[in-house]
Amino acid sequence: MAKVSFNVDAYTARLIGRENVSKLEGAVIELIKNTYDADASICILYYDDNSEVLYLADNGVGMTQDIIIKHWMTIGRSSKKQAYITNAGRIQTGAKGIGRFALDRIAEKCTMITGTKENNDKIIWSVDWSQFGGDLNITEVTADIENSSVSYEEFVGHCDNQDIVKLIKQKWKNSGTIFKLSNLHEKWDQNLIRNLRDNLSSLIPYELGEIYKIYCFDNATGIHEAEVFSNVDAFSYDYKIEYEVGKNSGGQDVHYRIWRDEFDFGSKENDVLAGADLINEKQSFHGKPIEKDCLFREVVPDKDNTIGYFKGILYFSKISTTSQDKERFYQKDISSRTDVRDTFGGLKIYRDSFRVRPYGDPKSSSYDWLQLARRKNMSPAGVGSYKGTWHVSADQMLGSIFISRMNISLPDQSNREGIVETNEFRLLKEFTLKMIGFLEQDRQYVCRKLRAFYESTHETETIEKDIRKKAEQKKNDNTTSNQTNQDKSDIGVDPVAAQKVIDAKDEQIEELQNELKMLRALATTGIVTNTYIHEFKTLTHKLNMKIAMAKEAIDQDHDIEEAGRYINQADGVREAFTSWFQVTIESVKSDKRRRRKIDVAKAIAGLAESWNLTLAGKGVHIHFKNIQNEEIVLKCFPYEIETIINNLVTNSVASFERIGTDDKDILINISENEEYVFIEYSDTGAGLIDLYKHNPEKILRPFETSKRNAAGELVGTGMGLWIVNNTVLEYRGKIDLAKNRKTNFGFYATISLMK
Amino acid sequence: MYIVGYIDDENDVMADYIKRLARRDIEMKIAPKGDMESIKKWIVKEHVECMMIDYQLSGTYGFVGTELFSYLNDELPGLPCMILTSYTDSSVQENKVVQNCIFDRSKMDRTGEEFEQFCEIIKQSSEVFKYNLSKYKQKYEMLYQKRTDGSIRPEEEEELLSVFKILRAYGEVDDISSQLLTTKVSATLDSVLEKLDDLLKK
Repeated sequence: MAKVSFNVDAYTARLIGRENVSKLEGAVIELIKNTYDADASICILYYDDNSEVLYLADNGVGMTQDIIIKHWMTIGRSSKKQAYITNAGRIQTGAKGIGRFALDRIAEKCTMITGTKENNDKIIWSVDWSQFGGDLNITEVTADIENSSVSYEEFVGHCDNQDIVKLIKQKWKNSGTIFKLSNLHEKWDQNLIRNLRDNLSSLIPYELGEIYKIYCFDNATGIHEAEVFSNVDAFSYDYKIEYEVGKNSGGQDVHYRIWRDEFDFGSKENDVLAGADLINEKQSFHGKPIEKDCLFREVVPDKDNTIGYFKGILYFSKISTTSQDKERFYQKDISSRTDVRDTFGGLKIYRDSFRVRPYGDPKSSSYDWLQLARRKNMSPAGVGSYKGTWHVSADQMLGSIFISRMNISLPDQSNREGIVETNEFRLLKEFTLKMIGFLEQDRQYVCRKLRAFYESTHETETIEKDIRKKAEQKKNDNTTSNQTNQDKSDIGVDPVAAQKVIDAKDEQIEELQNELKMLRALATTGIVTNTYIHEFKTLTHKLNMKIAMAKEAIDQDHDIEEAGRYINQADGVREAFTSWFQVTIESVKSDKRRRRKIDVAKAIAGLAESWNLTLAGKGVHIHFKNIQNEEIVLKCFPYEIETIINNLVTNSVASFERIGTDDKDILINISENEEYVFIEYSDTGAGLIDLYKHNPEKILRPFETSKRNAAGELVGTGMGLWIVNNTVLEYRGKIDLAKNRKTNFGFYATISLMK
Repeated sequence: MYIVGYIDDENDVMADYIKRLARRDIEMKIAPKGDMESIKKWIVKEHVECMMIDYQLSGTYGFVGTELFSYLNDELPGLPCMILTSYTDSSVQENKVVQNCIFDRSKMDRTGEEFEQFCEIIKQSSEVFKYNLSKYKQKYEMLYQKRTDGSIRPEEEEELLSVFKILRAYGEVDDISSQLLTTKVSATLDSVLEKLDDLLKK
């Protein structure tokens, strides 16, 4: 009886292949896996948008003609099934022998150049996949193969991006493989390349970056931008735990190391660490990890390691912190930390260095596959809590767990949607959570100690917190009111402790008040300067004018005498400038910011004189009168008295300008009794507008103004009289504006300041 | 000598301005206090060829410079005006005067090229004004002659009226109603005068 062999229709073979690589992204990844399996240190993906050709290049071991014919061209046969460890020690990722169909998925035509280190000649192999679409049997479909002396550089020599040619020249020796794919099935645009880059960036763990690099080029990309893992260095973390399981025979050993990289104690490091009882662990805050060896059972009680060898690196990285936590726990500044969650976020599983999707995929529901968020919700305590247990948030953890095809109890699901939920997979999850727990315990241990130290050095804050807590408790008690008297007595406040808090608060308030006073004076300087900006401009113009005239008198008339006259006039303008500075910037001089007893009558008289010099050009005159003609002593900040007068005078001058009167007088009378100093202020200006006439106190509110420019627009800040009022209130005094209700013209204010 | 007018409510360096500009062949005349109309009359009377106006006038004049600028644009067509002020921002924001006509007063205290350029702007403005005025005069004379000859066309008569209005504003022609220049009114007037002559003869 004759034996008849089976054959396969070429189209069917193509279909089977395509089933396994249905998506473009999957096809590219499949080919990149092959480059890793070929022990390549570099893999290049390059799309030449001018010729619409895609190149995939690796500097791995390459193929001989024998391998191409026996393995590469035999569908379903993979050399990796038996010999799955490469010469470089890598465990190969593929085994089905269908990866080559990925080429068909990407393009219609494929040309490959490949070579091994044993032979200088290269092999050029090419295929037109459209042959698989006809009625031919698989054995009737052919590819072209020939030996060639073409070098790798020559093969890519006509590329538009010369960076690729350079890279290949530098990094490719004898061995390697380059595919040239044309008649692409997809339109390759910027978006597609960007998406591919994003996917590639999480395809391989960044720990692998040193031995295996992927470059993703188009014509506009340089070498540096093309490197897919170029931002690894930017990653910073607070805590890291690295572990290795089952390295020794028996496989029950666990070795782990914890790095503390969260803290910065600055110049007080020794004091803080000594105070927090952490001085003996100082090295651990400077990069030395805390190392421990134990048995698997000590990590997961009553369980032995049935998974086999595996390892992992888990990072805890905060995205934000509070200023209070930063101070209490001496945390490093993380304001410049890059948010890598979208690319490196999540805990990923890698099998033989390639991602097992979808675990830890930031864009999928399997991001939190360990249910860290649920765990956190069950125990939301802060890291410094003495009683509660702190847990990480899901988005604060990232890292990689490395398994291998040798972990046979962790098989891939047939649909490639993750790992089968075996007992071992559940054990892997439990173990990983325990590792995270070790990291959490260490962080909480440190933070609790730092908190205790902080509280010991910030006693009042602790008491205040306690009082607040008790007040909150009391409030709750009032609503539930089913507590015993004994319970209620526990929430009493120690008056001595409370006094400390009150004193500290008083000090804070005084500091803030002093700041506020200074700001008022500065605001007044701003208001006055802004109000008289035109005067400053005019003075500058006059000064420049006189200088220009003096210059022309010399240059053109040769008249030294006339030039002298102009210079004298310029000198007069300079004096006017000085008087302006007297009433503006001088108010905030340091000697006026010291509280002391002064003769307030003399101070105001001096200020009035400065103003008279300043305003002489405007026809404004201040008439000052000390009614009792005696020294009037007031303990005050001199700049505050000037603040009051300067704001009032500024308002009066604006009022004179508004009505264009020739009668521009300001009257200031000062007197005293035993308790108060009285300043009576009035002017001959327009008086309050109707809006404020019947309710003059309203003008003391902030942002109330009636000051307009020539075009009728409101230009006042509305801060002047508000500042005056606040300053007066500081002296437990008041401003009486009642007289304005009865008068038609002029502004009237009687200010009393308590001695 | 170029004649430039200047209006400001308070400026104690006016004497310096006058002296400085005089060195550059520019005679500066200072406008008296008064309302807009009186200022217009003063401009005509003094044969001002270019007007410089301060923005902040309200203390003395009751209006701001940009308002006077608009008024003069209407009343004295073709008279070059500029705002010279320390309040350039306010002048620009009002949108009553084009920005190119607004100058910072500090131009007047500059030395060297900057001041010389500013003087050139004043002089050039005066030249433009003088040229336009003489052009109007020539046109007026030509059209008036045609009207007298009875050869004036209707569109030319309209032009005569508008040129007349401009010249009347500058006092270059008698201050009579422009209606009197129309052929119809003129013919009626001639007929009335003829009848009056006849009556007198009788």
